[in-house]
Amino acid sequence: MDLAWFLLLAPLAASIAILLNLHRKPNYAIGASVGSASVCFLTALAVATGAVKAPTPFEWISVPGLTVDIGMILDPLSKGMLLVVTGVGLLVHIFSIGYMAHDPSRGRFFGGLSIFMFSMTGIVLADNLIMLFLFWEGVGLSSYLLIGFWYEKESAAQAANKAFVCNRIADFGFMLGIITFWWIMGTVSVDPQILGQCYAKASMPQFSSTLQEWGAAQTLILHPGGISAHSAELVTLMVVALFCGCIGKSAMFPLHVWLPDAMEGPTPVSALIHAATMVAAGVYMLCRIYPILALSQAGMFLIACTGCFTAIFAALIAVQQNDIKRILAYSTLSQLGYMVMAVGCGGPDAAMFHLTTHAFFKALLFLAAGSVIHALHEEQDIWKMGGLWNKIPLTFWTFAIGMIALSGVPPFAGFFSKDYILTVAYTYGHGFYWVGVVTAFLTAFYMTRLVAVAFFGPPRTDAAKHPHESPPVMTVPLVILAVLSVIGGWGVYEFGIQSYYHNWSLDVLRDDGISYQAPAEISSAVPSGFVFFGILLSAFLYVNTASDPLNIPVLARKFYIDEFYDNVLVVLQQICANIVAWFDSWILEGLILRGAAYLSAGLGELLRLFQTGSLQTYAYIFTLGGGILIYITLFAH
Amino acid sequence: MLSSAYVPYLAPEMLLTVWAMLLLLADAFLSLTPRAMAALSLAGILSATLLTLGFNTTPLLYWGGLCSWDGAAKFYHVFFLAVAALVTWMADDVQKPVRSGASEFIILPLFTTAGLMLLSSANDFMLLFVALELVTISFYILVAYQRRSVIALEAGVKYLILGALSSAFLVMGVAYIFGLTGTTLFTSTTPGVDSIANHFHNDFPVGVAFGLLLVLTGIGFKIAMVPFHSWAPDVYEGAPNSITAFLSVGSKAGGLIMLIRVVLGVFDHSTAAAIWIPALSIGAILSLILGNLAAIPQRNLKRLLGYSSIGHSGFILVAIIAASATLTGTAYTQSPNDLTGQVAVAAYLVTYLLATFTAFIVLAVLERRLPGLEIHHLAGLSQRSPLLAAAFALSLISMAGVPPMSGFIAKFYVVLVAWNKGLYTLLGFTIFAAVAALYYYLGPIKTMYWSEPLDEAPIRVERTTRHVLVILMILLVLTGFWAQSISILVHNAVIGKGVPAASAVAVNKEPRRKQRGIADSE
Repeated sequence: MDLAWFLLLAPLAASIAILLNLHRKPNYAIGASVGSASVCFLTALAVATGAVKAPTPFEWISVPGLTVDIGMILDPLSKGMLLVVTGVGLLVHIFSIGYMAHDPSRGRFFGGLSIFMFSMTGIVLADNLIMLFLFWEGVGLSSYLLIGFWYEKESAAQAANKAFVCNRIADFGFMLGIITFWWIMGTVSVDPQILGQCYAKASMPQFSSTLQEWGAAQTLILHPGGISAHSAELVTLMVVALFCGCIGKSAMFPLHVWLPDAMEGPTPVSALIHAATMVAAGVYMLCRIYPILALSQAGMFLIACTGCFTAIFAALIAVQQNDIKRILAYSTLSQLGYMVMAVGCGGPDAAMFHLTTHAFFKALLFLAAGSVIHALHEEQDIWKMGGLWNKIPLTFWTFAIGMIALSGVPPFAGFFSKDYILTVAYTYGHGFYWVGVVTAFLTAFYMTRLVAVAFFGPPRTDAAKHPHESPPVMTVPLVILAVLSVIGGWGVYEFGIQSYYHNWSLDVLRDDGISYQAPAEISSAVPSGFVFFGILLSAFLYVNTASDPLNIPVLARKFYIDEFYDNVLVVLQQICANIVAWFDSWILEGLILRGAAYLSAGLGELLRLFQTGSLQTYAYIFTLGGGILIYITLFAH
Repeated sequence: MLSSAYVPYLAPEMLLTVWAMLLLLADAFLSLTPRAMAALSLAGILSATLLTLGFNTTPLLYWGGLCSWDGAAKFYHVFFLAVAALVTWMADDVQKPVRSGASEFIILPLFTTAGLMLLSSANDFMLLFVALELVTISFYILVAYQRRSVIALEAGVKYLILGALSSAFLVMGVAYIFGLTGTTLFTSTTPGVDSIANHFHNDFPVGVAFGLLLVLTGIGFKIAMVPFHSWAPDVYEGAPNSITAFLSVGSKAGGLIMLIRVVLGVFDHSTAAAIWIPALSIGAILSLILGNLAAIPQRNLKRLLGYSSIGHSGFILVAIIAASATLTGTAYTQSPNDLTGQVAVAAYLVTYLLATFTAFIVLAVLERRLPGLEIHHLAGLSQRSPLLAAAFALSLISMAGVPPMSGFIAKFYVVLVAWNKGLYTLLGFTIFAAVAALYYYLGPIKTMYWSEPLDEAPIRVERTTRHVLVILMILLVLTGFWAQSISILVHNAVIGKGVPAASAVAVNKEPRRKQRGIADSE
């Protein structure tokens, strides 16, 4: 057997074992789960070094016109992502041992983590969209289970539902996108070479002409893959529909609302799933199918705009939040916006670069926040902290490194990737660049605010006076992530991501004039200047304050999006409910069911009449039926 | 070709029969517990299975031409043995109340299975009849086994009399075919029919057509095709659960392989197809409609499954019609991955086996507390026993054909083959029936999960039952999820270019008469 299958089998086996039996024995469950994560990481290392090759795919579904394999793509893109997922995943597993030590149902928690690892590696490795979609739903499921882990808490259960519903809505669009993709391309493969061929085929002149006749479309329904007869509109539609998947999973505006609420889950989950990996799956998916996205200029523009808007929108909200995890959640939204913007601007490599560095420092920030929360006995409000910096020094220093890396201070990891994205954005459109710079300023501002309020100043509550540092099982992962956050920007791009996009036939995509050399008129000094300004301004405002000097309700209330949804949804729900009720009582119940019921009840009555022993009737029906059948077949024509 | 050297193919049937007789003797002289009896019986089934699996699938005739061996025969042999194993296990382990003279209840299925296996390789109308009677007569006893129950007795009597009636039809049909062609061998029937046809202006002889339709009537009874279905709900309700499952899966599959052998093996040329395709189409449509609609108002769960079983026959009949070589259409190339009607039938039966046994095991466990189980008894089952509720829900969802359950794949195959052969009218009814069926399959699920339990007491499920249920559930999901697994299972078995007679049939010299009937009205 190919060793690479361990990437999927190990976490799957662990999750099944925990589901069936081990959830009652937490220590065994932890062993199974952490063990499987270690196996995953080691296999990923072997894969990344090339020691383990991609296994032969096996046929999963084969019907005429559509063959779906379960197979793996192991190219630099997936290898890099795989290392991030399994590496951060393993660290979070280890951290969770300490964090969840006192939770009675931690067996279930680790089962959820294993389901997540299984699904997430599946997404990363998937060699076709159907398989990707399947695992996509798998991470959705594990995310639902883990957000609602403390299901006895009303808010957690509701947050889990919200996440699930938002993702369902988006996945519907994604599914349409996949179907359209199959229809146009005649394949669901995401193999880079096949996608390159599709790109080349689709770029031919007749492709972009408008759809000539609907008759051609009709034949296409039966014979997918007739790529030449499609209009640019259809391709744009496909790109937008595929992007819908990313909107849901990566929580882009307007479906971003689920991610901040998802912080109801345990903090390690927030770190792994809702910051470092799962929410980045949308970005990864976009990078995976990038040649297809590049077919539609309009689609790319929409992607860039959505990312750009989400970036600054979420950063603004983060400025006025008080819950440590919510600030980080909005920061995640903002950074995801950055990545999506990078894809839209034509820089998937920049997006993957930022995804990687972001995974390090955002996982670090969340885990460190978890350590703080743990130290303060489940206190999450930053205004009830203060003065922690010398009481829990290890947590403080790692958190500070994460904060500096996220803000984009040179030479930490975030600086390089953010700078690269800004360069790409500049070449695509100056507007995107400036929004990005302002977002960087805001990021530095709210992160400094968080550190200043939570770690400096006088302790504001009793709990903050006597915190206790977390055990090594929690701090060691913090240190490892902190090291990665410092050095992550130096080698990742050159060794991993760049080679992917250069090995690949992306040259085709780049002849539209986008150059990746930084234009002479911008320099890293501009955004860095804004970042330093943000840090200083925020430090000036927030060090040693007892309450927030800024008070901007519209930001604190998150632009009233939740209220808007709630109200609109209530009205919409009423209307829908009324329509459905009418349909149910008159059409379904009245016409179809009653009709069918009368018909069948009549037949039932007929049978029931003779049930008391009048067997003759059965025999009569039997013989009569035979007679009529013979008559119809032989003579009635 | 007709050499006794091929007798080994008969060995599994012989083994089962001899083993069953030995067990009957042992029961008379030794005092064996039902458990020991079941274990011995299972051992017999297991050895027969191993024996069968050892055979290859090269088509050939044996036993003086009375039997034919091919991929289909092997597949159905194993299928029936699997059914028998489940039935035997259920009889002993799940339904403890059926205890009076329990050994016969465990031994008789062995005879039934031997009969079913013989059916699946029969190449002669007389052997077909004898095998069928072996099956039916042992069923008469099994159905009425709980002889203190009025419902069981009523079911037994109904099954006996209607079964006898259907046998009469069948034997009369065979007589007609024999009288006109002078042979009962499948292999020589087709040339016989051809030679008569040459005397009658190349028309299909009406006498043979009459005989064929009578045979179809007899088979229609076995598979509960409307209008020969009337026994099904009553008998399903009255028989012990394991026997209901046996009837519903084993006996039905027996009827279907019979039908495949007769219509696809002997009568698959254009003039004969003009007779049986319309007849089966009518039967299929009626079964689809009546089976699925009449299930809606049912309260009793076994009756509900009885009607649902009628509906399933309709689905399978569509696949059999689509398997006819006389229908052209966008046939796919003759690669080993062909999806043909026969593959669809086999796939459907496998998924149906999984779902039906899951359902009846759950019902058997529940009926030990509540005889005459109705839907409202299921209220809150998910709280009383999550495992039973989940198993029953999965099996119903699978029967309804909801993806990604294994039943979906089966229905998908049926729709696909019907579409490929251009059977649009049948396709319309199929889809209508599939949608209508959702309603009554989801009803019990709703009751299990969203109704308050009448009785809070948890239901304890024994260890073995639990394990079997879990395995069946995993298979239900797995075969649906990894659709290819069913194809792999079924392909080698059925594609093995079954029915050696079919090759002889292919040469049909007459000018193609325009076919009529529902099947090709498009």
